[in-house]
Amino acid sequence: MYSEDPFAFFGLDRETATLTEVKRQYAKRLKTTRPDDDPAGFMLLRETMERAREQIEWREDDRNDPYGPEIEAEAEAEPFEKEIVPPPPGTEPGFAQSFGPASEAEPDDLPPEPKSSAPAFQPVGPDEDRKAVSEAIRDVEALMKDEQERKVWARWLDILDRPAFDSIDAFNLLSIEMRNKVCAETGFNFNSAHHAKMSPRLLSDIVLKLDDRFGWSHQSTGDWGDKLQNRWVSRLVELSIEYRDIGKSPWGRQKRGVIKPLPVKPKRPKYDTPAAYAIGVVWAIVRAVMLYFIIRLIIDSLG
Amino acid sequence: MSAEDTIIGIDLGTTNSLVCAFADDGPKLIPNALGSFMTPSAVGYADDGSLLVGQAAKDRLVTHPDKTTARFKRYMGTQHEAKLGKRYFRAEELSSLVLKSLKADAEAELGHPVHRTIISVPAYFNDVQRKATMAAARMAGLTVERLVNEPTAAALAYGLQDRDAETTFLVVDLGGGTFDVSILEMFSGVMEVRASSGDAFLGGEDFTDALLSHLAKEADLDEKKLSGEDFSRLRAVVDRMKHRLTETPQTQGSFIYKDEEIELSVSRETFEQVCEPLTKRVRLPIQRAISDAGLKADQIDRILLVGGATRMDCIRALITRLFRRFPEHDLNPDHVVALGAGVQSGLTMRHAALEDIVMTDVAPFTLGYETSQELEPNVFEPGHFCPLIERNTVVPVSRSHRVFPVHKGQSRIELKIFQGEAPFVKDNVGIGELSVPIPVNKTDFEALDVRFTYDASGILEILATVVSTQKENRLVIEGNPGAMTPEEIEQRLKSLSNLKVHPRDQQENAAFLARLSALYESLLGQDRMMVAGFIREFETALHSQDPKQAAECRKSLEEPVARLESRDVF
Repeated sequence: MYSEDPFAFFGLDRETATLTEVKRQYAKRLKTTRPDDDPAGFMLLRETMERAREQIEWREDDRNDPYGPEIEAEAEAEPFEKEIVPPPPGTEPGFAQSFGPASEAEPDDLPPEPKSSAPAFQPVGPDEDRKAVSEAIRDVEALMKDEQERKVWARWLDILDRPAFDSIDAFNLLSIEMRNKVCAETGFNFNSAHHAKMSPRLLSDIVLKLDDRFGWSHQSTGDWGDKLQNRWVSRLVELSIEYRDIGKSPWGRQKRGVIKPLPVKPKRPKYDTPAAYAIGVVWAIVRAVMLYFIIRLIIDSLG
Repeated sequence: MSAEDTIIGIDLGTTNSLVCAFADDGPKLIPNALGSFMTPSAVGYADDGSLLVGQAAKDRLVTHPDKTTARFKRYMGTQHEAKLGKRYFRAEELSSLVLKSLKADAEAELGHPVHRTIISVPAYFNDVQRKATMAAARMAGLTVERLVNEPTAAALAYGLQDRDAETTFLVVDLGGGTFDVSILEMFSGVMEVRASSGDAFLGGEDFTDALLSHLAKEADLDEKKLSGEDFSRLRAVVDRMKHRLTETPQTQGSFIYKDEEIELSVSRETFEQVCEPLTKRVRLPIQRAISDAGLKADQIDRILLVGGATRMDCIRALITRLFRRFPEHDLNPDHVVALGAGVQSGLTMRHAALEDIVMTDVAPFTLGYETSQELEPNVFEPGHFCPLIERNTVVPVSRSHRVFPVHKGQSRIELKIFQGEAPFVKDNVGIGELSVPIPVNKTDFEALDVRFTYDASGILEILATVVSTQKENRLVIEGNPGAMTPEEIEQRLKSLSNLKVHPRDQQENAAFLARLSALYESLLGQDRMMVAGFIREFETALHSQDPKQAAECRKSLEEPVARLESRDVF
């Protein structure tokens, strides 16, 4: 099924074919390969169309990407590879959109203050939206520093509910930047969501509410970077939840239980050398003898 | 194709239901016995013990709340039962009564029996709810050829106008009880879903409730202390006021409580303030659907409003603010979904007028299996959900993954199949398990190819092939049986057939009588006496057993009744 070139299948040129052409060819063939009549033929057609679409998207991404030349060769085999290359600090706006400051927090108990000396991100979008989002992120940073205020969801709403974010595009931009912020604050790590740690500046209650608002943990689409970040947020949500009532569903209130403790490596037995074992035995005997004397003492004093 | 193979399209709504058939010149709505396209989704017992469906039942909600029920779609597929008189009804049974009434309307209009149907359901309906809808249809004597998602139906109804265009639709469907947002794409006669989102517990009825609480507070009424009857009456008044607000900036109503007339008044501005929290809940799913589809506001070509509640000014203003332009509502928002279901029935019948349009189905939820994630070397955390067929994937579809055992030397791989959108399986719905024996291999990891094949009728086939031996293990999941087993459906069907449903040719009379009673209760003094007179007059006409006399009486009373009904509009 995978052997054939999707563009050849549709009689198009792989370098110049546009998405519209692919869709048109797909639609044309669909009329004679209806899913009800020819399921297998339809599945092949659909698969081919989706592959062609993907390849066009990668091609377009590469053309817009200054790192393109080195990566283009790999783009076919490892489409997401380029996304994982860490961005050179603050040069490439495309990365800022999906990853943001990514200030790698140290895995100690208190994540360090994010390095907020310079505006670390540069959102992409129309000027007003970008300005409004930058401002909001700055205010969120300030809010997170305020020990009292940061606990109050209404203060967060004061920022998130600004009329500027009514418009769809501004909202999307805000969603991306807020997710960047949340990930950076909790020590975002590409490899595993396991290391997610809550930050004292970002209470679990707030994380849950932010996730409810932007739907990150339930978002199934997006590019690789989005998915990684969304999975990270899912993990944070898991950590934040002891119990959450999802909606007022009459078909069974869905209970999100307490997360199971992680399986721990088997503990080393306490007495793993003969010497330690001997000491253990002697210690047990000494304890028994001492107990005996204490009881005797008590009985004597009573008598 | 004989006439009896006709498929009707049905919009089974929370508040109203409609039926539609596809004719040569497009979808045509079918009126009910009262001459209206919209049959209220309400069921109740008449005084003589027969069952009333539609307008009559809706009007009796006010006068006989203990014998009447509505808004049962919200309980589709649950164990929740509504009590009517002495009998308990499941949402499926109540829906089947509505479907039966729509079926009768269609048969009267088309002049032949109808057995097949397309029913529209909300896009977020899960498998159980979908199966419940099918069970309801079966109890009504209808075979469901296909369920069509409501937003898809709406886009179909609109898309028919310009079928060759390449269009991205945003469908905002705010019905009586549910809110649905979908992004669809139409190109060269193909309609596809890009993203969907929504709120299963938000609808026009919530706006009525909000307004009711506000007005009750203003009038110093404790809504919790009102009797069922008083409450339904107040609700009916408030609902009418809400509807009027779409036309006038200020409206009044009157509510009779303990023989006193309470004046209610609200302005559009106050209403919008009261509904602010609800409007906010409308905003988020829209923003999320667009962000899910990875689109920008100007990439949406057409914004369609569906569902009666989108008539509210605050909703239209909100959409305009979000997109910085006006939404479309050329088609009546109450009719769009039914029209679309009609188009779908035409498509299923392969009607010649629709030859160039193809409708593909999508998987309504994500299907996947449980995996363990390696946290550190040799420490695994089970319970992760690994999606294989993602929501909104066009079906039929077949996808495969290669999976590996956790340890070397493992002898089996337990495949647990789930559906749902959450990242951890405990939040999703388990639908099956397959235990696959693999050769014990101490030196290397065995591999397993897992293939999910999901077809348009909702049957999921899981094929697990051990890579080294090419041995196949197969599991077929026909989806949940739904909340009810086939036996249960049969049994319920039998007990339903014992119920006497009010004859269709008398529906008009029953509805009129219910309307008169409701009017009687909403008036005082002179006017009330006048309505009492009307009721006596009409009952005498009914007792004559002469349909003609009853019809004439109805006709003569129509004008004064309508005048009295509109009296609370000042």
